[in-house]
Amino acid sequence: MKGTLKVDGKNPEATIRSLFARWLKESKLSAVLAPAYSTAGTATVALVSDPEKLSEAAPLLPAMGVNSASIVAEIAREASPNAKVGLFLRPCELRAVVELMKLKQVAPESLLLIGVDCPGTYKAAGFRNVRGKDADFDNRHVREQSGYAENVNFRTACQMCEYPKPLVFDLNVGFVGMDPDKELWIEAATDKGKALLEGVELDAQDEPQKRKQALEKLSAARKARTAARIEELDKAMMGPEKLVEYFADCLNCHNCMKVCPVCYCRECFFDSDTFQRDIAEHVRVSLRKGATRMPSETLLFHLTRMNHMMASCVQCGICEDSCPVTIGLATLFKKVSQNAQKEFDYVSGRSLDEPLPLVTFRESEFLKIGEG
Amino acid sequence: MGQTKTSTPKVGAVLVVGGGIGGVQSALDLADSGYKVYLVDRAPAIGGIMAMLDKTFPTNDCSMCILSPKLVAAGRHKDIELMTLTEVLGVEGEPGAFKVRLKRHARSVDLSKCTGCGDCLTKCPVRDLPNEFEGGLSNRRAIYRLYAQAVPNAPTIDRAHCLKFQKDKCGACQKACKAGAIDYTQQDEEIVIDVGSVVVTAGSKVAPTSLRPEYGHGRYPNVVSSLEFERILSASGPYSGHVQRPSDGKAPKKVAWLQCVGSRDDSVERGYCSAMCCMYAVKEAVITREHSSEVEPTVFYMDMRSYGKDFDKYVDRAEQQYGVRLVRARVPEIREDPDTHNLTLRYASDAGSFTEEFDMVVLSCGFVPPPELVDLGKRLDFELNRYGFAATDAWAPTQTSRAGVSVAGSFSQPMAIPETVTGASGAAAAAEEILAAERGSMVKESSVPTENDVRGEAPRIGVFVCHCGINIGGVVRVPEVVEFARTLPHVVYAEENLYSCSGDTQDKIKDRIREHRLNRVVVASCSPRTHEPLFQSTVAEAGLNPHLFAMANIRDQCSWVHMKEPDKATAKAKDLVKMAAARALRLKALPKVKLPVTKAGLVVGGGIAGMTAALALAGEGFDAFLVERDKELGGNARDIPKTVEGDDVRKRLKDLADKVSAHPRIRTFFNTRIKAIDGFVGNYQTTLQSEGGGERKEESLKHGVVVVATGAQYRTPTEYGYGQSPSIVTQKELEEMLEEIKRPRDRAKPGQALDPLIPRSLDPSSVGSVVMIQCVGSRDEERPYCSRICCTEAVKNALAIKELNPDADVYVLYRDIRTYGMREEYYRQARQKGVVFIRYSPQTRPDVRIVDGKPVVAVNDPILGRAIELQPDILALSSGIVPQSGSEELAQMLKVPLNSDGFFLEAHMKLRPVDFATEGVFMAGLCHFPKFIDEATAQAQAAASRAATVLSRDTLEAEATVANVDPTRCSACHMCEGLCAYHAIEVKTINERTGKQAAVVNEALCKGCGACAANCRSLAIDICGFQAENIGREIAALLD
Repeated sequence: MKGTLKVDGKNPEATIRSLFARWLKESKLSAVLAPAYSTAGTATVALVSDPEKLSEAAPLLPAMGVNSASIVAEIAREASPNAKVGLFLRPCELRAVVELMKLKQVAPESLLLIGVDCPGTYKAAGFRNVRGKDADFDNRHVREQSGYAENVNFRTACQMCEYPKPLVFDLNVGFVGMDPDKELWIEAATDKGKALLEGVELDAQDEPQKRKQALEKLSAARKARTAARIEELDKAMMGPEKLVEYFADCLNCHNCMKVCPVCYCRECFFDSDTFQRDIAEHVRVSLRKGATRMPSETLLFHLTRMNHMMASCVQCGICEDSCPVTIGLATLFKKVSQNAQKEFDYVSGRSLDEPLPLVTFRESEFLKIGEG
Repeated sequence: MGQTKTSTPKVGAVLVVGGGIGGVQSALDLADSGYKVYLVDRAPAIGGIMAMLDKTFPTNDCSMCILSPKLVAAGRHKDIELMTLTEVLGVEGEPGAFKVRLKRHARSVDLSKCTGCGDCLTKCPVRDLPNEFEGGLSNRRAIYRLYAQAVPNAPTIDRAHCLKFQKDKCGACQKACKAGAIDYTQQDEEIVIDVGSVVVTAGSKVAPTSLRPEYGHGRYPNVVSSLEFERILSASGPYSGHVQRPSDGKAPKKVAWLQCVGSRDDSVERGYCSAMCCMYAVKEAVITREHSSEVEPTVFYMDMRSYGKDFDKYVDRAEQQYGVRLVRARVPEIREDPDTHNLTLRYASDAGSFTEEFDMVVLSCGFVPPPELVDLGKRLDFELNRYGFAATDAWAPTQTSRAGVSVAGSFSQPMAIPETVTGASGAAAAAEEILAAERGSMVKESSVPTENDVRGEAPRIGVFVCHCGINIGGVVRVPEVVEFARTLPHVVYAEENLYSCSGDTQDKIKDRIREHRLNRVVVASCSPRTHEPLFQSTVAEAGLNPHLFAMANIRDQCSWVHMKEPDKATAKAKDLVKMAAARALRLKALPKVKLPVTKAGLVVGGGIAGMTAALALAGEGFDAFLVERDKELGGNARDIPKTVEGDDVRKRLKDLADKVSAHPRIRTFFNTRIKAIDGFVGNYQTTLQSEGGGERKEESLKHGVVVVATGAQYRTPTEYGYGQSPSIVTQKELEEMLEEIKRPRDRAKPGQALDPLIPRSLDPSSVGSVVMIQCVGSRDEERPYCSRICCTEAVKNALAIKELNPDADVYVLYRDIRTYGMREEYYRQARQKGVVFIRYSPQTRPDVRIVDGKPVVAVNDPILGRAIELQPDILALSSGIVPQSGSEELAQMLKVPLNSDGFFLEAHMKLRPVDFATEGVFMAGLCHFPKFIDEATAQAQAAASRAATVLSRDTLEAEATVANVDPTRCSACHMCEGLCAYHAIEVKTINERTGKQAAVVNEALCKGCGACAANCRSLAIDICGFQAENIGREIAALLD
């Protein structure tokens, strides 16, 4: 089921809010998880259950402080028959939720995946200043971004993102290639999604050609930009010495791991006492080289994280935003995960049915690495 | 079976004659099931022909890599006595109590002293003797080892060429042997042993190329036999794996294989098909291409007999991917250019007559029982067929004419490795049935003392550094390594040994453990692959847990590869010892987990395979539950009146069913399906659901193993006008019709309707002409496999028609006639009786029209070179065999795989043909792949034999090196579940109250392979004995 939804008062954000209100009132959803402004005007996320409180939700808020999949992992590890939570999420967040579902870290039964187009976001930190006093900022952003308008102030990862439209969703709200002051593009992909649309007045039609072209153009531009960024990265990082240098500023704070939506271990091995050595051993290692860098094992931490995450990484880049010493993690993880997933013909979060790369195999894979 | 009355007490031991892969399989099955085994071979080492092969089809596995572990297992088994260089002189007595006279030839090397170090081999001055193992393409000395990985690994002196024996001088080998193992005084001896049963797995030999002198083998250097070519391909062969011409050592470009040398050839009294040559030739061609993409391989063949599981796919790949050229032509003769030694072949194919030059020609020799085996058959006193193979019956394919003596492998007829292994297990089951009550009566009890608890003790490490004669000591300065070891933390004792593995050193190590209260042992010597089990049992005999042992390989990975750099090799040996000591420091005793066994088997499916398996299990002394979803036993065979050999199938089937219902240990369930199967090897619990009298009943059974024998089904054709004319029938229906005609009128049951499509008024004279079309729904895109039995079915029916009406015209439209093995005889008879065989290809499939209700068949005749049209009275379609319905459900319940065609997939195509990768589950019959009655019977017996290796135990001992989950770390992501090939790990709720989930390892199923541990992102899984932390410390030790 797909078609256009009329927008009232040139306010797409309010139109989406009224959809939320309808679903909560009709008890189709018991709560909605969506972006929201704090009283101080900073970007955050809220779980809203009272239709009266919906003014708190700002579904089109263009800033990202966390990947909300992390929140989903926290609240929806197990299903509950009493809860039906609508996740109003960006494409990269939905993709992370899909990966977490495949990794059995999120139970799908109580959740509805409601996506929204996202051509890019600002960092949550400092976003208050970007927005200023503009109450219509979100709608203005959507208006600007409905055609392709590259914004160098977007988060690094966003500037390389080729998925402005969610890949897996029950229902999606689209504005790319549309005139968002007049209409939004609504698409239900599953029975759950179709049920939400019952009673909603849609002008049923095929996806407009203009929207398809706009999405394609955006993807193509982003792919080109990604290639250029990775080329730059290669110069800065390839080779063992350069790699060490790339991570040289690392404080070993592990923030990148803590905010990563698909880094799902209960306790990170690197936070455990496995790497704790007594002073005698530290001195012994130091004696071997004369001097050792402290804190130690930072490179091993990053390499291990890369190794563990490359198959499921959704390239949201939230790791880079959280790095206090601004190590270029977004481009690095983009490169590593993109290359690794290509080898397995896999795209993280593309489908719930595709098996995770490491739990399956094809008879003919990696022939060039095998014998002979 | 095996109920012979005997006054003499039965003996719980079995003689296995022949140590090829078949004999080794029989011996291992028997020994693992509680019997003492004497494994006798004439050669100085076991291994047989398989040890000579390079790779194996259709998986291209390295032959030695898959065989060697079995040889080592047989060589080390406490209940297998290897008797090499030994011949059987005679067998007297009766089943249960035979006296066997053996002649043991002198090896001139004392097996109890020889460590296999090989020092003697390099000292022998006689170096130009042709190496028979290498097809004479390289030389050996007078003291020699049959092949590098030989079991036993001790060399043998060829007395006919040894200077000591011939001229009483030299003695170089004795001087070289530091172990004092060379014994020139050994004598041949005659010995007598008591056994309860005999299994003959003596194999066959490659047909001598002298059968086809016109091919010039022996005269033309670049004409080699297929077995010689296997050695040429082998990395351990005469040319170290470089494919080259014997004449000049140059790499050949054009290589030809000539099929059917000594096979399908009545002129040399070898009328049968050798069954495996098509596949091995295609494999050799493929492997040759893998060696060099420059090579252009061509195989000249008559019919491509790729009738086995995945064989057609292999041949297709060979053609399409590897560019192997297949030419259907018999080459009459080879000529050699005496200057270049190139070879010219003249041949005629469909495309015309050709002359083509090749650089090398391989003769695909068939298999024959050589005179010495014919002689063996006579000495063992059982019947041989006219070719000299052991005569057997399709319904007891492992039974010779002499009770108590069974046979398996290519001594009964030419067969490839999987059939040999299957038969070998089947023959073991036959032996067990005779000796069910004697199980366990002659096995050695392992006498391991109580284990010392070393927990809480400070580590006390002992290090033993081996010289391995001069293998290590000639390069590495061993005393220096010992001195160094003494300086390592917690090492309280270190010494050097000439041979750490020799019997006296083993005793010494035990003494040292006691004297110095060692609680960790390091041996620095050779490969843990061959020697770790030995040292582990040594430390266990001294009261240490076997996992408190660490090994450093300072031979294969040090002295052998750094022969010219003694300083660096010595330094490396020290590092390796340091690492092993660091590992030893943190080793923990691993407990043995024992699990009980329910001594009963569940057999799913009551066809021939299922009934045979149930009978064999019961005969071995175990309870069998036979579950059949139909209302009666018999399966597909109920529809087969006769075999091509003329057996009355229905009568034999009734005998079998009667035996099943009479057997007190078999409980049969009719109209019953499996609802659920839970548990694991030794401990299954199955819920059955039966229907009868309008009622549904459920029953729960406990059993230790499962045999899947669910069969397959005939495919109903959808092509060639089937269903549109009563004259178009399947082969099966044609056979029914022919039976009906032959049946005397008064015995025909009125009202017993055959298929309404079948013209019932058929009488012999009306069968004027019959056309048969082969490969209907087989070997096509949808079903890219050969149904294996249809060619023989067609030949059987063609012969029956000719018998009814010798003037009938019978045309068989075929792609390749695949009457492999002894079935070739019937193909020959059919041609003799005038049955016309017309070949078609996938591009020239016959065309069937229906005119006036009768079929008209148009086909291109490649011999006439034009299209012909036939108007038969009957058109019979050889419609293939498809997997059984419900296979997928059962596979899911058992967590076992199906192959892409939908047949059950065995653990290993060559060496584990009846096992699943999941332990305790076995398969037999057509559920595995289409096959004949004798093959299904052998497989069913084999499944019972494999099952006995589980059911004969009171408890199963789980591996100690299993995965171990730290539930506090586990994120329950289920990754490990998907990765585990053995279904040994599963995420479960481990705390009902909190709902906490974590992966749980089933220690009975875990093999400790480590796939789960390597992939666990939360690092929650470790392999006992190989903890990540230990490995880290080991590496740290190297870097320190």
